[in-house]
Amino acid sequence: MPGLSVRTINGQLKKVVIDTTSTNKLGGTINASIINDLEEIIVTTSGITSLTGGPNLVKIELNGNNIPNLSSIYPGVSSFTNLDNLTVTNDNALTGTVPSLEENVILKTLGLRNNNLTGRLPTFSDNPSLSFADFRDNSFSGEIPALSTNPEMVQIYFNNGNAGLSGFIPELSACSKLENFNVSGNGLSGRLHDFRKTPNLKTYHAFNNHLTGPVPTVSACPTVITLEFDQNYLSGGIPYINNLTDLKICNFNNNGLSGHFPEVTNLASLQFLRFNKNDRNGSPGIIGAIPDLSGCPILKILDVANCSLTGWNGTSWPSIQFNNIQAQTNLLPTSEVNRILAAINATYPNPVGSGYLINLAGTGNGAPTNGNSNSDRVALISKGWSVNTNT
Amino acid sequence: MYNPSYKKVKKISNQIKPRAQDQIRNSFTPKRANIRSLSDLERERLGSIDGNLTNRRIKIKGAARAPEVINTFVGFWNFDTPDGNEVVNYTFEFTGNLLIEDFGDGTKETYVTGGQTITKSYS
Repeated sequence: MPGLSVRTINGQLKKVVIDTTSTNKLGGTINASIINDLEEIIVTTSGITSLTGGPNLVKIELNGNNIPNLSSIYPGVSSFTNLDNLTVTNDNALTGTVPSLEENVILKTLGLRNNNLTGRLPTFSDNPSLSFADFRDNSFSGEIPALSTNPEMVQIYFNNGNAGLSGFIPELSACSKLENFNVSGNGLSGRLHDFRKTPNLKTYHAFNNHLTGPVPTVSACPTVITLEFDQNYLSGGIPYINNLTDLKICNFNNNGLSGHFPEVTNLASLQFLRFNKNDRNGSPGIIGAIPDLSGCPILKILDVANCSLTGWNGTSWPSIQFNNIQAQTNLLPTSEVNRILAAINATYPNPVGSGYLINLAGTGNGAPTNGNSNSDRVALISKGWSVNTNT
Repeated sequence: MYNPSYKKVKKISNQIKPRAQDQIRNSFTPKRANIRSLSDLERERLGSIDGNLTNRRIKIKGAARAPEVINTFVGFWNFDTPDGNEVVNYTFEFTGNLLIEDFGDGTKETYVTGGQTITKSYS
């Protein structure tokens, strides 16, 4: 069997990186244990089926190979006591469970994204240095492990996309450095965690679960960029968000939230704002008026469909960034529909590209004056907008 | 006034385990007359008189040179037979010098620089 052989003279080989760029792969096995001083081995899209490591390995990174299971990393993950990075990702062949990590006490990075791993998630109680845990896009089941002994945790990804995880979102009060948290697409129930314990949050994705209770105090995370709570059973009002100047995505839709539109005068980074279809749990959804949106100068999508909104408090549509305005199935009278169409028409004097959509139709909303012949409606359609109103 | 407790003060001999004491007792103890240092041997070779070196000088020819320590790692990656369409980027980080003894197809590469990416096309 052919194989790569190397020679060192008066020195040590510390790191080997193998990256196959061609469609054809050499495959086979790597025996890194013959190089006692080797600290890092990185193998990308090379089709290898096993790796044997030495005692001084600090980093094992395997991406897009054909490792059949984590037992094919010899002599076993638990034997690499100096390991601070174990990454095995994008391996269609990788099945089985994750072994115990209790011997990998200095582990910082654990990346197992996009494989076919099953079973329960490992516990992290013996990994106090762990800062990155990525288990997304696998087929895990059971509960999310406790994170009470992981003060260095910065990024957590448990989003499966197959509703595999159940139970509650764990207590995160020990994870004060947490920046990215994603548990979307599971079967989690119970409440969201207390955001005051994680003031450094940047992205938070908990959509498509069975979560209940109120939306937490998100204003306690002043640098947050993404808040996705949609497709749950949350109740109560929408909390204060106007101090979140970095907020780009705010998805509170498809819950049971109610109350007035929150203040949005200071959201300079906001691009996606969705409060639509908050009718779960018998909720009336958002009531009152759509506020003046001049405080959101780069907003692209406003989705407030299926609420109980009765008007718009602005005088001119603020932005030319909008390409999707959905306010169907509300309580907007004809006068407000007319004003919104006229304001948007004035903001966009020129033809637009594809995908520009206004929807003011649906039960509860009034038809614009003159129906389909409304001059602003006709003008917007001539510029390329898709306009849907009652007639 | 400092007054160490009895438990904290231990005789050195008490810290040696009995088995270690037996080993010391039974080990070979050379007599002083049998001990000859390297310096003694060198003086003897050069012809010293009463322990004083004579006025001879030693001339060492050639530069002193550290021995090379060579490690060869054969079969680091055992792969299937290339079909001629594989392209692999290799990167190595190391101290000292490194050469590719065999890419797996009989070819080799010397004078590899640390951190340098070597693209190998199997043909």
